[in-house]
Amino acid sequence: MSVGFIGAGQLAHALVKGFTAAGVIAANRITASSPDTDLPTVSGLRKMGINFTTSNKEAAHKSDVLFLAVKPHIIPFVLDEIGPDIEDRHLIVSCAAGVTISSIEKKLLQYRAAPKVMRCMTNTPVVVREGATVYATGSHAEVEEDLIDAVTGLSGSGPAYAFTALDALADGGVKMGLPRRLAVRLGAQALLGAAKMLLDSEQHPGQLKDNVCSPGGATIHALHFLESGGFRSLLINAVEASCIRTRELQFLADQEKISPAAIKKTTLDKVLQQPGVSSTSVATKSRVNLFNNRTGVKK
Amino acid sequence: RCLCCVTVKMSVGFIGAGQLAHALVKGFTAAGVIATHRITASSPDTDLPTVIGLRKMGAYFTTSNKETVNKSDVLFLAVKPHIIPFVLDEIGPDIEDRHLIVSCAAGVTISSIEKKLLQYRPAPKVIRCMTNTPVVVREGATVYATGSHAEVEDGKLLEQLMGSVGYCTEVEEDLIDAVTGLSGSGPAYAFLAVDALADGGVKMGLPRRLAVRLGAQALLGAAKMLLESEQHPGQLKDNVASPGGATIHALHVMESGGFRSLLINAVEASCIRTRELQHLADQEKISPAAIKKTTLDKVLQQPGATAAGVGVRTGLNLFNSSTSKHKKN
Repeated sequence: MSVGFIGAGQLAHALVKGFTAAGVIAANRITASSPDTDLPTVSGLRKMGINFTTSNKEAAHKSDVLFLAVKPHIIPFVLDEIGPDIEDRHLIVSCAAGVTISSIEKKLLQYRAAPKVMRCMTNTPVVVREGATVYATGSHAEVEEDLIDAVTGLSGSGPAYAFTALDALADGGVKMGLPRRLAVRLGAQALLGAAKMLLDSEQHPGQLKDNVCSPGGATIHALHFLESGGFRSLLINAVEASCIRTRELQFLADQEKISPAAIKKTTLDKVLQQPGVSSTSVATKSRVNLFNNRTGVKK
Repeated sequence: RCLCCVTVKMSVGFIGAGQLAHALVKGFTAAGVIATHRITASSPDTDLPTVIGLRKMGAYFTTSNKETVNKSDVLFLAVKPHIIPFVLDEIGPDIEDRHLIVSCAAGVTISSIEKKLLQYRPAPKVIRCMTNTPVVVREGATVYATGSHAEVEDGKLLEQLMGSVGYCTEVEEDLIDAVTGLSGSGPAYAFLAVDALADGGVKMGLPRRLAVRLGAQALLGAAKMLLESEQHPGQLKDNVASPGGATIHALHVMESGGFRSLLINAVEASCIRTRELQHLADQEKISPAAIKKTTLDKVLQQPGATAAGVGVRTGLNLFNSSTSKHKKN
C-alpha cells in the first residue's frame, strides 16, 4: 500500500526513517506534505527518497494509509482541508495526542458515510526501530482508547525523561572524572542494557535491582540517595502530569472554538494557495466551532 | 559482533559462581564467542542459585578454585572485593605464565593484586575491568585497564570477549571507580526508574504488565537513539517536547524535584563508596570475620589448600602492604 503523512515534522521524519530502515515499505510509496518547506526535517525526508509536496490534498490522493502527523491544534484545519478528498480506501491514522477518534470521525462524517479512523500513540525511538506504539480502532481496540492518554504520559513522553536522565548521569560521570563522550556513552549503554534485561526477563524490576546491589556495596549507597530525594515519586509525577495535560488538550479541542490565532497567517496562506483549497473549506471565519460538537462530552 | 571468526580458542575460568559469573557465561555462550566446554566456574558454596544456571549452560562447575585455575588460560576473579585476598592466597601457587588474571572486583587495584601474585611469579599478567549485569543480554558496558606485565594482545583478547557481550573500551585505571558509579551501578538506577514509571502508568489506568513493558521499551528506545545519534541529549529531549504539550509539563515537574541532581548524587555516591572499599582493602588488615567459617572450611577441604596458604591467622595483613599507598583522590 501507499503511505502518506500529513505533516513533515519530527514524527513523520522518525516514522519514515524507521519504516525504510525496516524495509516494511518502499520509499517511493511514501508521500509527506507540509505547507512549510523550511522545516529541518523536510530535507531529511527528501534525502530518504520519499515524495515531498506542499499539498496535503496531493498526499491524500497518493495514499491508502494516511498518517495525521501534525500537532493536535492543527488537526481540525487539516481535516477540513482533506475531508472532500477522502475515499473509501483511506485508513486515517491520527498520532495527535489527546485527539479522540470520535472527534475525527465526526468531522469526516460530513464528507463520507463510514470514515476508517484509528488513533495511535507512538514515540520518537521508532527512528531507530525501538518505538513503543499503542493504537485503538474504536470498534475493537489493541488498547482501550481510554488508556491512550496514560500511554502518552508513559511511553509517549518517556524518551524525554530518559534523555534528561542521561544528561544528568553523564554530568555525574564527568564530575567524578570521566571525559564527557565516554560518560554519555556509558550512561546510555547502561540504560539500554538494563531496559533490555527487563524486557527479556520474567523477573520484577525490584528483583533485578536487588541482584545488582551487593551488600554494603557501591550501588546500594547510590540507591539510598535516589530514594532520599524522592526519585520514584518524581517519575510518577511526570507520567501523571503528561497524562493530565494530554486530557486537558483533548478537552480544549473538544469544547472550545478553535481560534484562527492558533495558526500562522503565512501558513494559512500557503495552504490556501494549494490547488483545490478554498477559504470556506478551511473555516478561517472567526469563531467557527470546527468540531461541530454539539453533542461533545469530555471522556 | 560477528560470530564467524571471533571465537576465542582459550579456556576461560571464573573464580566465583555468583551473579557476575552467571551473567558473563550466559552472555558469552549466547554470543558464541567461546564454547561452553571451555568454561569452568568454581565456588566452595554449591547452594548459590546461580550454580544451577551455570551447570545448565554446560559450564563445568567445581568446588575447587585450584581446579579452575589449572583448567583455564583467562581467569576471571568474579568474587566480592573482600574475598579477593583469600582467593589470591589460595590460587597464587597455581598461577602459570600463560594465565591472564582479570579482576572484576569493584575498588580492587591492579597494584594490590600484582603485589600479592608477585610472591609467586615474577610477572603476573593482570587486567582490571568494570562491567555490568546487562552482559547477560549482550548489552553490557565494560571498561578495562591493563597491568604492567599484561601485553597489548592480552587487552585485545579481553576486548574480544567483553566486546561480544556489549560495549568495551580501555581506560586509565584512575577512571574505573567513576565508571563503577555510572555504568556499574547504572542498571539499578534504571530498574528503579522503570518500577516508578510503571507505578505512574498504573496510577493513570494502565494494567501493570503493559506499563512495565512500555516503560522499559521507552527507555531502551531512547538510549538507542542517543547511542546512534551525534546529537546532544538535550537536543533529543527538545525534539520530544512540543510547545505547550504533555511532555514539557512532565519535564517541569521533574526539574522542580531536582531529578537531575539526584542522578548526579547517585553516580557520586557509588563512586565514593567504591573508593572507600578500595581504601579499606588497601589499608586494613583483613579480618577473618569477613568470611564465613563454613566457607573457609570448605576451601580448606579442597586438595592443595592449607591454612597457611589461605592466611587465616587473625590480624594478618593479607596484602603485605608495607609500602601501603595513600587513598587515591
